[in-house]
Amino acid sequence: MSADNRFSSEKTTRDEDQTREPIRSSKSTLKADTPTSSSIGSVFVNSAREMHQLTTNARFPNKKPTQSILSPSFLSASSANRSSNKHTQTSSISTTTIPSFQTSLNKAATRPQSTPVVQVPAKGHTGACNNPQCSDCGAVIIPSPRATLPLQDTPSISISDWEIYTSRNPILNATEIETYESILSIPVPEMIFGNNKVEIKYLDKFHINYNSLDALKLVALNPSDLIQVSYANEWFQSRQQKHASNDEVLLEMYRPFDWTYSTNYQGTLLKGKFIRDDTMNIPLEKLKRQDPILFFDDMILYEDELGDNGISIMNIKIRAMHSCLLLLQRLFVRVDNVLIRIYDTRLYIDFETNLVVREFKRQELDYDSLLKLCTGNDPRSLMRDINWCSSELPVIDVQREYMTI
Amino acid sequence: MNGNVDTSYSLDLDECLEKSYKGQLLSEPVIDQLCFKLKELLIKESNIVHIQSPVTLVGDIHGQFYDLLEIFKIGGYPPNINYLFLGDYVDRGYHSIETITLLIILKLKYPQRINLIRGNHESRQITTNYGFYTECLTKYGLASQVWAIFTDLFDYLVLAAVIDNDLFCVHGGLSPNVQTIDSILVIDRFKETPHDGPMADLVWSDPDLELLNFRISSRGAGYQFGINVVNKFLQVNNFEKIFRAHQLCNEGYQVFWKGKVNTVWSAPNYCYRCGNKASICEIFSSIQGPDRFRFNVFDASPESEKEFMRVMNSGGEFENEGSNPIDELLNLNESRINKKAPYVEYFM
Repeated sequence: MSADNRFSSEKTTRDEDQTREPIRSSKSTLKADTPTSSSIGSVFVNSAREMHQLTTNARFPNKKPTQSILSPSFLSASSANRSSNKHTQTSSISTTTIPSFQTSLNKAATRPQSTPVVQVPAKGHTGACNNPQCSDCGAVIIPSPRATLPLQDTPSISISDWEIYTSRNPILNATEIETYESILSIPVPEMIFGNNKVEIKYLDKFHINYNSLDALKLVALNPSDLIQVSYANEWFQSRQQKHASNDEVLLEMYRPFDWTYSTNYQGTLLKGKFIRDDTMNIPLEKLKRQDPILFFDDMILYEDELGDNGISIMNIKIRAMHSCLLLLQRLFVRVDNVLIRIYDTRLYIDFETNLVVREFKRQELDYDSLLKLCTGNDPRSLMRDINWCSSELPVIDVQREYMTI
Repeated sequence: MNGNVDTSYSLDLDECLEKSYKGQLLSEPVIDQLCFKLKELLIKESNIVHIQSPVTLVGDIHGQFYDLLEIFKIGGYPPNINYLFLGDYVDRGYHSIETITLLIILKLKYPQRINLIRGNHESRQITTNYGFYTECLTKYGLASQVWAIFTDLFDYLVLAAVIDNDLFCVHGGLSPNVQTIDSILVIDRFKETPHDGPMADLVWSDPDLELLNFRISSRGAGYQFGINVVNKFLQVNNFEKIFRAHQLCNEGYQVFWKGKVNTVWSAPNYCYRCGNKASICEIFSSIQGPDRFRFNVFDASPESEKEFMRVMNSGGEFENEGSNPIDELLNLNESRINKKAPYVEYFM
């Protein structure tokens, strides 16, 4: 409801803008004819107005940029003076310098396929959506232009029959954490973004969902190879001596679990069936093409500082173009002085052929070996750089699977 | 070296305080002297400071300088209000140096009204891994000694506080090695926080509602403690409640076992991305009973919100950058306009 009201109020301001335009151009004509005017140089007034309009225009994502807005005389003041009232001429100069919706569409049109129908928010979106489409580049605006804290964003988009939904919310509150812990029977990570999710649907044939609850369900209980912090042995031995006669301290670990929150989670598949085929590659060339991005979101599912012994962070990114989408879910685990581990899940969907490819890749190395590769004055800062680590870590295994819809 | 670092060598406390409130970085010689003066003061203090209410408790700040200023706006400025800070001043946020510098100056200027407890992040090992070391190098240059100066000072911070003889305040929690507070008093605290022993436990342990006694944490070091341990500690030492920080909570505070243990968390929207609330705990002197203290809950300051937008737009990368706040505001719009999905990092 509120969203509707807001859009209508934007429309009225837009109309006002348009009614003001003729006055503006007549003034600039006047200025060009009388360049020696002694009052406030109307060229300044004019460019100030154009600047203002350019700025405010960005706030109305649905507005098609008008030609006059795309002729900022402050960018080419000399040519504006020369061409006096021939506004059409200046506009032709500036359209080449400022990328408009038209030009990006032209770029996209170089592809053989026809442009699919794009809808924002997505067809099945319920409730208000604060993430409109940018009228300039066509991308969904994320975070929302009206974002306030605490951030609650639910952007979505439909590209032909594919629907993408993401939502970003604050960490769970105490009651929600209790519910989670009773389901999981392990303590949840310190920063648990339990209400964040990424969801992709195709009619009733494909449906996948990425969320932290399902990811944490796969964290090992009683793992045979429980990772311990670097000083655990030393610590545990000194404990055994000290508390030998103290019945207040339970020396056994109560419900041991993989406290690094490592998980083989690759998404919750609700509809569709993958076929294992390790030779199915994600088409890099298609993804490397600089096609306009319609949708990009980046969020954390959970994060834990491992009691200041490193970090475990599960992060998810998605970008969608006219022809395809790529999703990357990345788990990064660093146990200081013990190991570094990255588990990547990539999901590629081709909208033109309806091919879905999922790849799961594991990388791992012991801490000291990776530290040897670090250089510079602050080598450990590289160990915090996930992209650098992913480029250096050896691959343990890769699994690929696909489906065609 | 950052252009925002003040070049003055003046050790006028009022002048330093004024600059520090504005978020200016003081010159290295000044920081050196401030830390030296504070060590002189702290070496005389016992491991546990005894203070009288009224006092306001502040939990983890983690370099969120603008949220610290917000705390003073909400809770009142020193010396009008007494403050007890429960540790974790540095790491993670973008302004660890500004935060710890301001707190040092306030402690020097109002030693009776400001008290600083040591947290687990006030340590050499932790700060090299979690951002404070990097921030020192970025803001003061590779040759600077500020990180060493600050971390030396951390060794002098006190370990715990007792308010009105019946409220025990510590950064983390209880230790199997600490039955009475006398066992805290005998700790030699002037050293890097060890992995082992009561000093480590005080800054690292967490309460767990499901537990009765102590349990060794799954990760192989550190404890969680339960209700029996809490009851015994309170009874033996004749305390009423325990106040601690150390654990993030969405509501800004958390109450365990009907208020026997309370967590105060003072970093709103932690790491500029958690969306959580923060609180300070105000303890009154004139009131007894359940209204004796109150959690004052607040949200992130507008300045921190802007940094949050900056983090969002840089694709969630969380690294210290040594530019001054005004530049950051200008960069904000630009980065927002230039926001593009990173092409390179997506591919193997």
